[in-house]
Amino acid sequence: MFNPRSHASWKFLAADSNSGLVDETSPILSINGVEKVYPNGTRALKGVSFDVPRGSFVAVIGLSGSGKSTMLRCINRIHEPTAGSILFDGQEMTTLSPKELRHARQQIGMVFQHFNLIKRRDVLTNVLSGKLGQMAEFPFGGIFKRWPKEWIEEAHAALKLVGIPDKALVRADGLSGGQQQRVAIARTLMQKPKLLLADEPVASLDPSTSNSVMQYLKILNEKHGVTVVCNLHFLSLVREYATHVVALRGGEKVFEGKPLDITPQWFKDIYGEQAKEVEIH
Amino acid sequence: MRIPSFVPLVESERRSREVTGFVIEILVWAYLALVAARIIWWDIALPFVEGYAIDDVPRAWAVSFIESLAYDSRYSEFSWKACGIVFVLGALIGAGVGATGRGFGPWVASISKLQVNNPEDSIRIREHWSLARKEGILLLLLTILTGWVLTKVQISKMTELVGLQSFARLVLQLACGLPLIGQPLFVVLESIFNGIIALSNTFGSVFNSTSEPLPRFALECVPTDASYYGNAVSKLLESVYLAFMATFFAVPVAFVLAFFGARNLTRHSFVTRLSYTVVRLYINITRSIEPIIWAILFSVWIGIGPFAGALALMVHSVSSLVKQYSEAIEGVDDGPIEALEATGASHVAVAWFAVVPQVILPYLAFTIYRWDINVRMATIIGLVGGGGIGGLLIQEQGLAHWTQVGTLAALIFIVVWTMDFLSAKVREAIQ
Repeated sequence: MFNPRSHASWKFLAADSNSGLVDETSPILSINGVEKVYPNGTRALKGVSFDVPRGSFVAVIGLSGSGKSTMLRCINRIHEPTAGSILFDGQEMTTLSPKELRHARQQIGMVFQHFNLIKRRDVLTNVLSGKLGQMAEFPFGGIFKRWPKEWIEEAHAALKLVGIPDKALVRADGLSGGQQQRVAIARTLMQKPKLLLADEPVASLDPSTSNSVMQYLKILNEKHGVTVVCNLHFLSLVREYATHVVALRGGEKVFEGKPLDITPQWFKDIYGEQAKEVEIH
Repeated sequence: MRIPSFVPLVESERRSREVTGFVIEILVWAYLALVAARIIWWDIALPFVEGYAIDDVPRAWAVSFIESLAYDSRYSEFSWKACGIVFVLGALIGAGVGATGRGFGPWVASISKLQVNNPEDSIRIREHWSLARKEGILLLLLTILTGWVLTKVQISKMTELVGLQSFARLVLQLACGLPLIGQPLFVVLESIFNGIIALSNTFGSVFNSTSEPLPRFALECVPTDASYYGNAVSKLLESVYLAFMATFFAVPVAFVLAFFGARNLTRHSFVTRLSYTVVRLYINITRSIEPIIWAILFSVWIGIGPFAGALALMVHSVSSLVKQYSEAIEGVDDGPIEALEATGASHVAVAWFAVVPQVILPYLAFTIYRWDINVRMATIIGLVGGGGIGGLLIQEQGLAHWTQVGTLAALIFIVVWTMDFLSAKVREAIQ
């Protein structure tokens, strides 16, 4: 199960990260034989392994139910993986204590298909909630503490970056889908993440909004050096934005490579014989 | 007892589900047998035959049958021994039916969220459970029959004229106590009152089928005098404030406990799962003890008066609110919880930022309704020395001062109606 090569590199990395020197060429995330069996017996992942290079934009593709979302949620242990190892920045995620896990999660941002904002609160509070991880060490999770001034400024800056500085005091459920997703991106910006997990971030948006949301993810990736792992449905978006592609089918990895390597034959392998490509631009 | 493989079940649980189904099947048939023996045979069939045996003209077959059983509906009791025998017999039948794996028990035990993928399988499953459905209907019908017999439902009693007349008399006396009756301006109400009396007398004489004439109905309305209201209203206010105190101090306690009593927030560690069980146990124990008993307990402890009543209502309110609050928490959208957990926020912060905004509206509605319930209960609490208008109510009722009872009921009604009106306005405003 355990890949000896990555095991060795993990030891080497762990020593390195202690001294503050992280090997820039090693993958930021290395997934090894991850399996997930849900309590109802569904085997969502059957031993998936792949590496995510530092600074890359990895697209995970596959049919609905192929295990993409489960894969992403196993990385930050929103769902507990049943077996396998997940090395994030030289740290084994699967064996972390709850406190260590919270600390690791602060460095991993996440955006969702349905945005998952706090609907009845204003946009600013939603953005600031990205900093809750840093509040975790205060009594009662910091719920009785005021937000520090510099964080509020930071939140305004994040909103400016995603192009909605005027919406700070609007209730989150008053925004359109695209705007809500940008608030979610601003929320992860507050975490200053090393890695961003995006679970079908554009699946419930219209094509033009989809492209603008993808643009923001690209800015994060290229200008802020955030590594992105993104579940996507549309190959046109994959070709335009992703640097690497991983394809899942029935909980198993069937393809790993560059977007341009997806030949019609590969496409049929991933999506089945009957599938036809649908374009969005 | 095997459940066939085309019924979708989590494979690791199949064996335990089969055993559960078998046990349920045995219990179902034991229950059916007990109902058949105790209700159908003992309470319906035997008295029916006995009726023929003790008739003015006894039927020979009925007499010999009843004598052979030594049955007498006045003295005989259905012994525990007979219960045991019937239970075992039923259980044996149940074991027989359970062995086929087609009965009600396996059906109940096999219910799961799993989907059937093959359309042919769903037809086979339908056929497989046809016996189970019939058994289910039989179970329901026999339970209704048992309920009917045990509640001693007698429709004929509802149409007896003497009972109806007493009922009408009491209603009219209560109605006489309504505020403003007896004031010069409300002569109309009085003529309606007299009209109803005349009407019920006519009704009584027309529909009287007995040989004796019904007693005529003469009722004078002596309205409560104005000085009575002063005392009643001050007692009523005592009840309203008592209910408010009980609700106000119950809310923060219930608010905190509700998080520990919600399934979806207490899954992650052993300690929180234990807290769930403890909270649920606490609220179920305190809720099964009626507020009136709590009021007795507290009045023994700290003496008769409104304070004891308030404490009793508070204990009851806490557990009822925890139940409603935690069920609201269990119904929230998981999305924001997931999103905040992913930022590394602590459990308390997740509850505060992702759960509370989603439940605040239902909480408000539940709380106002609880206050409303408490105002009404505060009147009952008074019966056992918990202070407020209830004490007055029990006193007047004991003296058969029905007019005064009517007055008090009308006052309580005004408060309850006002509360309902206000709570509707508040809920509208905060949508």
